Amino acid sequence: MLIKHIQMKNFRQFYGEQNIDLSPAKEGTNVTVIFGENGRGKTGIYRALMFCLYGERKLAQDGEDGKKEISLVNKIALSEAQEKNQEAEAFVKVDFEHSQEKYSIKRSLLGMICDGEEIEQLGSVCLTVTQSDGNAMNYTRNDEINLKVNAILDKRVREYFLFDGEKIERLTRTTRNQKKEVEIGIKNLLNIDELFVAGKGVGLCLRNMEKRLEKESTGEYKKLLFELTSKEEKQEGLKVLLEESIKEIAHAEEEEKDYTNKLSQFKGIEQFLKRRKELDGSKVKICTDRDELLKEMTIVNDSIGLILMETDMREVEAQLGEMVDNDAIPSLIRERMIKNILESNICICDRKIEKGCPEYEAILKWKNKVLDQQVEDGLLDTHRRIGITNEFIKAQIERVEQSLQSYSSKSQEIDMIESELKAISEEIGGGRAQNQEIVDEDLSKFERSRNLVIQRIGKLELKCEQIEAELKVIKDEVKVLVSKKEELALRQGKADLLARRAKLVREVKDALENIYEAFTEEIKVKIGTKASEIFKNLIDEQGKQTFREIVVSDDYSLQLNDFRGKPFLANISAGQRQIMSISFITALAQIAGNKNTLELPLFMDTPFGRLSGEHRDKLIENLPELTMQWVLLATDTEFTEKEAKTLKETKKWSRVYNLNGTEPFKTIVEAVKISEFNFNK
Amino acid sequence: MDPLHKMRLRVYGKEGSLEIYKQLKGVVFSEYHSFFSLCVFLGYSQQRKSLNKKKREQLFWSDTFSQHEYSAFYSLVVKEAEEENYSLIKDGENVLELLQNYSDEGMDIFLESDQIRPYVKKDGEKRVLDFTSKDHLQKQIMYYVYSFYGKI
Repeated sequence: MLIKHIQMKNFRQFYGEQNIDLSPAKEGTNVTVIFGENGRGKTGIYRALMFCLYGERKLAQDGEDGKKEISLVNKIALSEAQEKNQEAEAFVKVDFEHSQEKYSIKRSLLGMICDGEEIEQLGSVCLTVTQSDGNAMNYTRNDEINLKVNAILDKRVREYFLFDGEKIERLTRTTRNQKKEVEIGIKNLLNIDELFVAGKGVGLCLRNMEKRLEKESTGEYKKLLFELTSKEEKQEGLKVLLEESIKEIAHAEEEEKDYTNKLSQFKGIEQFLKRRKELDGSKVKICTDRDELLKEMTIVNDSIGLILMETDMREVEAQLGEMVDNDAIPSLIRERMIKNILESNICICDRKIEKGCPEYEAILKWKNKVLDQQVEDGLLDTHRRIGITNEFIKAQIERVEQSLQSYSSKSQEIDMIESELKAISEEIGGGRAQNQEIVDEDLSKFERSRNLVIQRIGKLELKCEQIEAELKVIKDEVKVLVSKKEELALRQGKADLLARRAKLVREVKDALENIYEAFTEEIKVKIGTKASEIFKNLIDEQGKQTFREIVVSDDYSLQLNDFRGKPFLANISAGQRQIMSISFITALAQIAGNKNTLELPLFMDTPFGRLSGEHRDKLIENLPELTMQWVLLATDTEFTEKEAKTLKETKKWSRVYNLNGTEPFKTIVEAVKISEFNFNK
Repeated sequence: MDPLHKMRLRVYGKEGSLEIYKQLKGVVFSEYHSFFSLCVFLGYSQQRKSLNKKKREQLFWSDTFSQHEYSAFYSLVVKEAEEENYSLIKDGENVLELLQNYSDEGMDIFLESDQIRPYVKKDGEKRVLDFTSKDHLQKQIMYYVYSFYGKI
């Protein structure tokens, strides 16, 4: 199958009519690079192809959740049609060649907005097949078209032709769901659904026969049959339970993925959120400290006025001290002394003082200055207390200074925190992030929910392991019971028709199981060998030395063995895991097409994210050889001039497209010459 | 005639001052006397005292003053004494009158200061303080007094 041309009209992000040529622009080339920012419609191109070929509205990567409806009609076209009270028409037309016949398939759908809801309805479909002799046939019935297309490429393997760079690495994780994915891939390849149906039917038939046989039997044989049917019923019950648990795990993993996606919205701002939490905590603490300080300030303020009296009180302390030193207070000694001088007319220096002389008059004046007792007591009391109060004022000034300083430093800290918080808010800015409570709440809610889902997955995994262990035991028990039953039948000469028929049916059942096991074993080995071959071409030199092969294990997990044949998967890097997944899927796809090259264009969506330079180069050098057409969907950050140079050297690259657009849902496909492509824009 | 610290007298403030006392109590100061003495010392430090007998209203009892406040009041009296006449010290009532005169003026100095004026609002003839807990008035007033202390 060689796709020549894809035409899209009003499909998903593609507004109006858009065209992509995938046919080689030059002889021997097969690589097309389509550049586009996220959301511009890179995956939409693959979706358009799947819609056109199979009428599929959803891809595997959309998940199994039925509620997640994917709108296919372009939203702008829908609005425009609504204004004109009309339906919007969208279509995809794909032209391709296969086995020298030309195919052209056009599938359309109609969309309209009704009561604010988008409604989509599948429109017409037409397949034209032009044979090499020029005769053409038109097909318009879905069943006929599906038959034709599925004959070229089975619908069930279509998903392997779209590599989601972020998703495929998961294949190498040994979760039950990934094992299931690998198992489904292999079963799809085997295309042996009928074998399963037959196996189930024969099993049912066998149980019915054994029940009838049990009714008709007696004694030990009856007992044995009862035991056997009970075991087999239990076995079936456990199988159903196991299937249900696996489905439940798949749902839980989808849920976990959703939470991880939601949490990834916070990625990049995690550090800011963490810092903000720290700052919030610090702010609360400092504010509490400051509130305490303010309470203390009220107590200090009770005596704040006193500091204004500091100088005056020091002076008064000195003044009163002097008065005490001069015996002005208390006045009793002075009074006695004056009295003695005036009565004896002799001074304390032994000089005679005559009445009326200036010295006498001065002493008399001094005598009149004597204070009354109450005033003297007041002054003495003040003198006694003032020293203590002055010390208190000194301490009070220190307390005031400390309080103000402490307040200032706490306020400064709060200002700094608030300014950092503001900067963080601006940094994480936009929409709901502005409301930090919502962000914090969401973050912890999602983390909590994800942890709960992870715990649930763990419990379910454990449950599955227990069921599997129990199944293994029952299988052995059934085997023993069957052989006992056969032995007893032989001994008791049980050779009636029903017993013989039951024996025959059991042999058929065992044979079908053996066929399935042989098939799967064979295909596992085949895929393992093919994947190892591709892996060796894609892995870097060091990896080539270290790893020997990829093995699909019995439980459908993928294993990578080192050069000694020992499992090494746990030790490999994310990039190596991606290479391993690419190898596995390429092998699956190649075996599906039963050819050495892939039958469908290989679409790779952002595949380089986790790959080292050498792995990128290897991929670019080798993949054009493995596939008929390689369509690389990339952003300009992962496909740079360096990758372009390597790709040019393969001489396989001939087309490049830009998905342009200035507004959502208005993507325009623009063909660009490789030589003129600007990588830096 | 008894000294102030031995008496229990009504302390008065000029009309309208009680509202300010009420607003500050429990927020900036624990008791009324603290704000009163602050106003006294503000008035005294600016040598501003009301001379005319104004209409006054009761504020609190004088026996709530602390020992340090008494010391400061008596120091003020000593500083005020002319010709070494300290007789006022024994006259509690007149000492209180002196203090009230300073306090009335001191309150005006306080309310008209740059730091406090933004919080003063007129309610008719009355002056009231308009502040919230976020204004941290206890710190504003502490800072104001400390600045005042630095100036004098």
